[in-house]
Amino acid sequence: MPRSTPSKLLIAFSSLLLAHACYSAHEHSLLSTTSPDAPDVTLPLDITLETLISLSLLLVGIVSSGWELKPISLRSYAGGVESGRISVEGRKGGLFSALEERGGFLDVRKQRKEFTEWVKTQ
Amino acid sequence: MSLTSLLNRFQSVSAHPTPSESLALSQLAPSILNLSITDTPEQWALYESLLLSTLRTGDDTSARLILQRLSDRFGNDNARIMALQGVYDECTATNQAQLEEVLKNYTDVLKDDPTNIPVAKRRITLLHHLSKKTEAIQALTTLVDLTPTDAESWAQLSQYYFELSMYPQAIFCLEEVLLILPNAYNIHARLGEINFVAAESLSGASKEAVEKLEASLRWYLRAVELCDGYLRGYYGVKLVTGKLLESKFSAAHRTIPEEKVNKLNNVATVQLHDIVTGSEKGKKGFTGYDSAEVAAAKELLEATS
Repeated sequence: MPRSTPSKLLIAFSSLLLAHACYSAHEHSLLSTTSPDAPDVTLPLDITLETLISLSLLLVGIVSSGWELKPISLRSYAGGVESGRISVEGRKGGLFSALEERGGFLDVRKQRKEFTEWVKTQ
Repeated sequence: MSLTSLLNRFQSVSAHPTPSESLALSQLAPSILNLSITDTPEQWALYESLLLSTLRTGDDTSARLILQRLSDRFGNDNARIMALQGVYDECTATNQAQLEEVLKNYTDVLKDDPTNIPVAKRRITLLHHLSKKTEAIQALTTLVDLTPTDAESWAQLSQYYFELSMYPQAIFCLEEVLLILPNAYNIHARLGEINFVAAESLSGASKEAVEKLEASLRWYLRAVELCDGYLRGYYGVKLVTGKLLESKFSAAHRTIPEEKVNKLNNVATVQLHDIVTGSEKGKKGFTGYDSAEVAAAKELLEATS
C-alpha cells in the first residue's frame, strides 16, 4: 500500500523513540540490580512518558499512512458494485440481481426458442 | 482452463444471456465434460449452469450426459435434480401433448410431496409458459402461503400480476419482498417503475395519477439513497420529476412542493450526466454500468435538455 511521506517520517521517528525507551528501561533495570541500597526502584517518569508518547505517535503514523479504507456502508458498497469500482469475483449485476433473474422460475424453453430464431438470422 | 475460471465465466453471465453468450458457454461443454470428476461443490455448480446453457442452445446430447452424471451423484429423488430433469423434459418436448405430460408429472410429484419447492416452481413456470396465467398465479399464491419468506417467489408473483396490469397486487408483492430484504435497492427501483406505469395507465392528470407519480418518486429516491450512483434510480428520478413538472400536473393535487421537485430534477441530471460521460470515456470506476442503460440515460438527457 502506498504510504505518504509525513506518515513515513512519523513512523520512523516514533519507532526510534520507542526503541530508545525500551533501551533506557533495560539499562535502568540493570542499574537498579547493581545498587543494593535502593531495592524497590520504580521506572523513572521520563521513560514511562517516552514509551507512551512514542506508542501513540506510532499508532497515529500507521493509521494516517493513507491506505484506502473498505466501504462499510451499504450505500457506498452497493454503489461501488453497480458502477464497477468494486469488482466481485465472478458476478454480474448488483447485489440483489438474483431477485430479478429468479433462477427457480427460469423459462428455458422460451430462451431456447429465442436462440433458434437468433440462429436463423445469422 | 481451471474449474474456478470456468465457473467464473458462467457466473459473469446473467440468467438471461444473449444468444451469442449462450452459444459461447454451450461450446465449453466438451472441455468441461472431459475434466475428471473431483466431486467438489464448484464442479456440480458448473454442471448445473452448463446444463441450462446446453439446453438453451439445443445441445441435447451433452445435456443428457450432464443430467445423467448429476443424478448418478445426487440421486433421482433429489428435489433439485427432479427440477433439472423437468427443465430437460420441458425443453426436449416437441409438441403440446408432451408438455402437458410434463405438467402432469409435476402435479403428481407435488401430490406426493407438496413441499418440493423446486418442482413447484417448475410447474408454475410451465403453467405460465402454456399461457395458463391465472392458474400460474393461483399456484404461486399457494406457494407463497407455504413459504412466505421466499423472496424469489414474491418477486415472480409480482411480475405475473404486472403482466396482467394488476398494479396494486404487483406492488403489494414487492412490498413483501422488501419485508424480507429491506435493502434490496433494485426492488425499490422496480416499485418506482410499477407506480410510474400505473400512473401512466390512468388518463389525464387526476388526483390519483399525481399520487402514483409521487409514490414512484419516493421509491426511486429511496433506491438512490440505498445505492450510490445507481443509474436506474437516477434515471427514474429524472423521468418522474420531469413528468411532475409538466404543466398538466401543476394542479393543487401535489404534496411535494414544486421547488423540491425542481431541485431533485437538477440533482438527477447532474448525476446522470456524470455517469454517462464517465462511462463513455471508460473512466475507472464507471466500467460496471450496462451500456444499453447508459445509452438510454443519454437519450433521456438529450430529450430533456
